[in-house]
Amino acid sequence: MKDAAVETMLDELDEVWRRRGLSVGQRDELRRDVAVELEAAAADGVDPRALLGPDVAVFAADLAEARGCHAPRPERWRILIGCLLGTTTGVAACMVATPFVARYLTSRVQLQHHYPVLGPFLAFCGVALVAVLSCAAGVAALLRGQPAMRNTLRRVIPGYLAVGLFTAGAAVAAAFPTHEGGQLALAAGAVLLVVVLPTALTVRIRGSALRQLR
Amino acid sequence: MGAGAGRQSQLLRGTLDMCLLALIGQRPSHAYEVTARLRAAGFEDVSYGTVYPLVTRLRGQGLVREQVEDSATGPPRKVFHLTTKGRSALDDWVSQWDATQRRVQAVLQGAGALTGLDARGKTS
Repeated sequence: MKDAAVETMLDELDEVWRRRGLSVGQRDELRRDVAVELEAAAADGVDPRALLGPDVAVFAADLAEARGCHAPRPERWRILIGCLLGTTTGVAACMVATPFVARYLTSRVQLQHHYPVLGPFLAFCGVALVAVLSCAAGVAALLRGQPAMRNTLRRVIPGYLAVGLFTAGAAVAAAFPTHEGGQLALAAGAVLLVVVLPTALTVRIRGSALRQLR
Repeated sequence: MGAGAGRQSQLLRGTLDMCLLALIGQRPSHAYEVTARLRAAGFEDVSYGTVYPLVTRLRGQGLVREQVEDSATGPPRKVFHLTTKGRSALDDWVSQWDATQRRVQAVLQGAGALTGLDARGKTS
C-alpha cells in the first residue's frame, strides 16, 4: 500500500503537470518515475515534502523538462491547413467528376417536378459530403500521432456534415448561376465556407478534447 | 535571493552535473544518496529537488543508466550507474574544469585579488 504522504505529493505534482498541459500518458510516466523515489525515501523515514524541498512546482517543472515532456504545440495552423487542403481537394475532385456523374445520374434518375431546386441541392449535398469527408481526412493526416486525435475527429465530423448541408442549402438559395464565372465564384464561396467553419469548429473541439485529457 | 547567493547558484549550475557524474562514477548510487554525499562534501544548499531532475537529464543524454534494484530494507530503488559515454564525458569535463580553474587562478593571482583572501585565511 502506498504511503498517504507520498500519494498526496504525487497528486500535487500531477496538478502542476496538468496545468502545464502535459497529456495523461506523460503525467503517468512522470508519476511512476517519481513514485519509486518517494516510496524509497519514505521507507527511510524521509517525508516527501522534506525530500523535494519547498518549491514542489519548480521540481515538477524541472523534471518534466529533463524528461523532454512538453505540452502539445498549438495546432491552429495545422488544423487550418488540413481543412483547406482537404476541402479544396474534395471540391476539385467533385468538379472533375461532375460531368461524368451528372451524365450517369440524368440517364437513370428523373426529378422532373423538382427542378431546379432538388436536383442542384442533391448535387451540392454530394459535393459537400465529399468536401467534408476530405476535410476530415486532411485534419486526421495533419494531427496524426497527436493526443486525443480520435476523440477530436469523432466529435467534429457531425459538425462538418452540418456545415456541408448548410453550405449546399445556401448555395441553392443564393441562386443557381448559369454562367461559368458564377459557378467558379460559387465554388470558391463554398470552399471558403466549408474551410472557415470547420476550422473554427475543429479548433474549439480540439481545445476541449485536450482539456479532457488533463 | 541575494547577489552572493545568486552567483553561488550560477557557479553551482555549471559544475553540478560534473560533480554528479564523478560521485556516480565513484559508486553507483540512488539520487537521494547522491544528494546526501554532495551535502556531506559541503554543498549544503543542494536539494534532492535539484539533483533528481539533473540526474534524469544525464540519463536522457546517455551518460548514466538507471537500474531498479531490490532493497533489503524497503521498496526497490533506482540506482544510477555511469555509462562508458558518461565516463568519457566526465574525463572531458574534468579536463575543461581543470584548465579553466587554472586560468582563473592565474588571473586572480596576477591581479593580486587573492592576497586579501590569503591574509584573511592566515588570520582566521
